[in-house]
Amino acid sequence: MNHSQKKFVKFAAVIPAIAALLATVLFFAVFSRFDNSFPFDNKQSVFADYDMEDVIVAENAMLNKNEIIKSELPLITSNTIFGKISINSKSLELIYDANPFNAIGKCNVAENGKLPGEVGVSILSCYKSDNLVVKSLEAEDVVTVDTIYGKCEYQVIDTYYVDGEENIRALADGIGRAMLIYCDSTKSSGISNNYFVAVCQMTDGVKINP
Amino acid sequence: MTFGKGRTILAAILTVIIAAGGLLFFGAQAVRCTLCNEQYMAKVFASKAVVSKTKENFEAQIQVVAAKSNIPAQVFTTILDNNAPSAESAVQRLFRNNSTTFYNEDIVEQFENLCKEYLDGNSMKYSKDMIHNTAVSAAQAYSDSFGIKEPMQAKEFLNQVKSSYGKFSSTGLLAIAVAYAPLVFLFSKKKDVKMVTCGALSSIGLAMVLTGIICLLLTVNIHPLITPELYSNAIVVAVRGMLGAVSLLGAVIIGTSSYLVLRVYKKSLTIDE
Repeated sequence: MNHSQKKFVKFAAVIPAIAALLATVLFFAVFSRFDNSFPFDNKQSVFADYDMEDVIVAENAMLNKNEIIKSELPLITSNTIFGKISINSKSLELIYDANPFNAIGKCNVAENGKLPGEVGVSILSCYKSDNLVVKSLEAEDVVTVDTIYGKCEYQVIDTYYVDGEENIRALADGIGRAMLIYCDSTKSSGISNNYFVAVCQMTDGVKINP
Repeated sequence: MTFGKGRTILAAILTVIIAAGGLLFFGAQAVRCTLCNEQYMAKVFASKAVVSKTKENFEAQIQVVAAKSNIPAQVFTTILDNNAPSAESAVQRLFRNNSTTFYNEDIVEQFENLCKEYLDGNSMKYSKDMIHNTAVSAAQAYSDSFGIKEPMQAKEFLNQVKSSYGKFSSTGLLAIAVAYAPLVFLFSKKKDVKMVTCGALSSIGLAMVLTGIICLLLTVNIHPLITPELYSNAIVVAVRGMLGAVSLLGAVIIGTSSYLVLRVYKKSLTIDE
């Protein structure tokens, strides 16, 4: 290689290549100061809060016991179908803590209540499209709950019409192993703030103890 | 140290500054023309995947309203015949600093009218309050599906970048100018000046290609914490588009400068002969 060629390679190829490498390293060194900014920071940003989750069907736990310790129960997560509820020869699937879409056509067991059979109050609800099933309940009717961990029977103590969902839970005060089943009380189309609530007490079946 | 070695070291340092300045300038321009460009971002959010998913989500949420109200879902979805919202529209509102939710009294009224039309048409009695509640729920579903609920972080980012890319661009250009002038003075021969100029251009192009490719590789497993996932994916697509553009522009610059430098070299060979 003559002097001219060496000069060419040095100034037109080698130096630019090294400069480019160093500039790239410098860029990443400086950029690391900015990589904690939106959208790559670790802050949750909610553009829309609907969630589409798959429904899970829980398998029968085959416990075959009348009394179960809570820790023996298989983990029942949100959007899990874990049984069915039978009311006056009609039945609805039981789903635990369903998102609004997955709760359509089913009886949703609220996450802030207990499971059927547990001490405390189990809160079940369904939409207006299924409210005829629930509204047919009267005092002394029997509700059967068939779950992956066993069967429970509840008897309706009384029924109420309540304004506001926040006033429903208090109806079960003083009842051990209670169940509240509620739905929109109105017949006509539209969403109301008045609920039909059936207050039930467990009479037979598998008991879940803490 | 001889003059030759000193000149080489100085030329190298100045070329690094030019490469860094070029990266800063073109990088800022790339962000300005992509992530901070309304048309580009609206196009990304108007992709088939985003549009069909937002419509799917709206239809799913409307089924919930239908189940709660006993009014068929088709009554509510006909609103799409009169209004054609899309995530693209929400993005445009984001850039124009308008509200990015689509929830307003007008939409509630539209849903109320649709419900009343259906019920009157089927001679069904209804309570105005209950229909209003239903319309509110439907309008909420509409806004949740097609709007952007919490745009604050995105807005802050946009405002920050808009106020910064001018500074970054100017700094980059200044660095190039400040480094290029002494680089040229280091060489007396015209062909040498042309050669180092093309070399400096190549360094900018190569830095852009390297940075673009490395950033693209880093985004392979990146998942911004934006819900729902379709918006997170759209933003990753937008960022990758920007990085791809930077790499492509870098490749073009390398190609151009390589062509020019070879011409200079060939010409110098014929002169030497």
